[in-house]
Amino acid sequence: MDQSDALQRVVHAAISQRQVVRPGGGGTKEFLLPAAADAVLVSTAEHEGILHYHPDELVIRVRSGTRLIDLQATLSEAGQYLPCEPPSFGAAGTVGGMVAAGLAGPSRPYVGGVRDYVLGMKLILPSGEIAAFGGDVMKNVAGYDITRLNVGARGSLGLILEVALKVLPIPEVVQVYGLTCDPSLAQRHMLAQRRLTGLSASAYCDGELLVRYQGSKRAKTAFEQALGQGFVPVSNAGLAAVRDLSFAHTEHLWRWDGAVDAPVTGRLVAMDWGGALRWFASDVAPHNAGDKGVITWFRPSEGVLPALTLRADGVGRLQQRVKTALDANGSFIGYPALRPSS
Amino acid sequence: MLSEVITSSLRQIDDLELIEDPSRRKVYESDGLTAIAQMPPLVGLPNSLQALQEALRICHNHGVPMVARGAGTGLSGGATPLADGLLIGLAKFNRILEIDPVKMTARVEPGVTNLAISKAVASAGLFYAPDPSSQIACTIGGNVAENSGGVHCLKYGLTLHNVCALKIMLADGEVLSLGGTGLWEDGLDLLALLHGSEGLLGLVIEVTVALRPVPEAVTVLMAGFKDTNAAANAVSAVIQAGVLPAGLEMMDRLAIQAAEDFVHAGYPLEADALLLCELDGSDAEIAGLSEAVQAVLQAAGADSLVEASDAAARARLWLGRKAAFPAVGRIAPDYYCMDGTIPRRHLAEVLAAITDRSVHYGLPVANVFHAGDGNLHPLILYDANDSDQFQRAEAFGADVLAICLQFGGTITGEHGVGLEKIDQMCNQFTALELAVFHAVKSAFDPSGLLNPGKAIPTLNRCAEFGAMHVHQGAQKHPELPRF
Repeated sequence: MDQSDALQRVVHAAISQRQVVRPGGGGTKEFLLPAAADAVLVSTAEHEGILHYHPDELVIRVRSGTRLIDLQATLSEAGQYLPCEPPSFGAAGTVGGMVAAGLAGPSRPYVGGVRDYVLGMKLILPSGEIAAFGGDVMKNVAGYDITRLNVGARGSLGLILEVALKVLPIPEVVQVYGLTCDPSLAQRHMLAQRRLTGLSASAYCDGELLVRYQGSKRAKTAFEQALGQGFVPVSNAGLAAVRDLSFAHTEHLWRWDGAVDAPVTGRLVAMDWGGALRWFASDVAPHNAGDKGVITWFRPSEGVLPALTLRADGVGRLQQRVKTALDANGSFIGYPALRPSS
Repeated sequence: MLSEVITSSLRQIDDLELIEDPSRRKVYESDGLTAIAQMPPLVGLPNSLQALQEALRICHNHGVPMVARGAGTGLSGGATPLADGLLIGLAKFNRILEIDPVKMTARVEPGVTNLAISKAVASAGLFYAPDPSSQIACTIGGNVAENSGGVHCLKYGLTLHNVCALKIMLADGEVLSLGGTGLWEDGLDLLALLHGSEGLLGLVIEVTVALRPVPEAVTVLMAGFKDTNAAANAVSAVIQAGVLPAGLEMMDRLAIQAAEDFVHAGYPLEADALLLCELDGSDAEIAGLSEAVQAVLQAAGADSLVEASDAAARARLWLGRKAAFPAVGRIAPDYYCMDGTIPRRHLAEVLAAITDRSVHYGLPVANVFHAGDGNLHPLILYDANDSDQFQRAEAFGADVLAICLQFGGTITGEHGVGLEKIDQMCNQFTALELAVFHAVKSAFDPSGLLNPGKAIPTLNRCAEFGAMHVHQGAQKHPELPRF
């Protein structure tokens, strides 16, 4: 149901009472936002529905509160899917949440992330007014790319009302293969296998390297031969667990983003993206980022992230200038700074 | 004109070649949009980042506007000089700095040409996917500024999807690195924002591109159809069949004939529409894939069907398409290339509307179409020496853009707004949306010195153009002076 007017009224009311707006959807990724006691949660959860879907054009436009599982079911019926395979932290997760969080699954290095599949957006700006950017077409270079600027902005630049997405046909075959090994052998395989035709995931968790093939039936044998000895077909469950971060841990969860060939060290819980993404669990920030990677505090052991110091370099200052330019009165929440201050 | 104070300050910079001689400056008076020319008062060709930075600081301190230029192949006037600004040519930054075959990336300077990247990494079995038709000449810095496309966008994406990091220089000379450590960074995605920003936010001084393994096998299918509707339906049928071609291009009768006369590619002259469909993949799958797509094309009513699987035959088929613009240039003194994108389901109606306008203005039109992603390039034929024809061509072009908007499309798919389509921006966006663009600009370039007057119209300009959108019966920002 279209809730645009109601949502706009709530945002206007918050602005007039000088309360900070904190956009939300299904509430499955609350931990990504810093605590803000005085902020008003404005939820898009009721603002759901598919606005149009043209499978032969590979484009779908949905309201932001549409649940991801509903979107995925609709696409699946038409033999298509969302290639960025966002993580699921619960069935209530919405398309707006996927876009605001900008988190992509294991296919990220091979087919791209969330922003690579977002074509257009309608949103309530921090002024309370409604604006639209991008469109329902694959190629569009009119104006700055405000649509993609909002991907991963965590609702700091506005409340997303509609999203147009590029989708793709489901490959003929999708098969995961597993190999039991230690992390350093896993990394050697990951580096050696980077160019395999049809490779769509390469992850490591619980002592098992997980490699996924997607493509035609005909090319599957060649892929299996190229993988080499020891790999056996396994279910999708292990890869889904890496995607959804459902591996067991009780401490804070930190992500490391860096070069695939950086040495594997520390208390690794999982690797993804062919080694470009690594997960660590510990009570304090891991000090092993090196110059080939960046550590980010991703999920606290409980509750939500505390406010951290802003990224202090020129890029951080420019990001802050962009935020201020688009939300002069600070009507929407700030972007949480996720780097440890030390 | 630039003041002597500024010119003499710029002369002091080591590693900055200044072009003051008018006959040499004239080369820079336009980019690929030759209809708009402006003699630059001064051209600076820096040979080092330090020289570039010093030049920017001098201009910034004196309030002198700056326009960056790569190879000048842009089609929308994005690199057209300003009467009172410095034109900065970045073509001397043409080194490939690093090729990393493990990470499958190349770090290059902005003046490296698009094709030079693929050539440099070919021996490593890799290629850079986006391939605008001007790839032999256009620079990667310009590709980022315009978010350039090409014929392989449907499968491999635009420039945006194939760049993992940028180094930029802001108007005041500050250097920033965006992206690149890993595949994800916290904070606002400024890397995405720079793509297609047309030189208004910052100068691209280094680009790290993502490379892909060269596919084992490639084949091209060419199908002739008796009308454009049938060809459009065939495009839909291919995608409905679950196939994602590397390229899927359409040409209409006039474009087919012009291309065939020019390069003798073997195109079917009796066809009203032609599809070129490139498939790539592994050796094991390509034959089966080709058979499947041929069956789809035949079922969709293809009157002729040719497959080219060896490199020479493929190149011959593509030559006609890639040379379509100059081919059309042979049958008319001038042509005006448009660049709208539409939801493909409206193709028949859009082509009919364009034909109607062609009759109305008395000017022929040839259509070349990135059919897979809905990006239409109507080429309007005219004679620039006939001022009436020139005006009709411009009016026709504006109508084409209006038609694209009417059917839910955009005024530019890959060529950019520049100067050419700046008035039509007032049709595509509301005053509120334009204000958002101006806010972004102010965050990057508060003095407004980078490429002013391009890409994003001022609200006053739109008011004068008389095209400000009125939504739901209410004019946005009624407080703004309009007349």
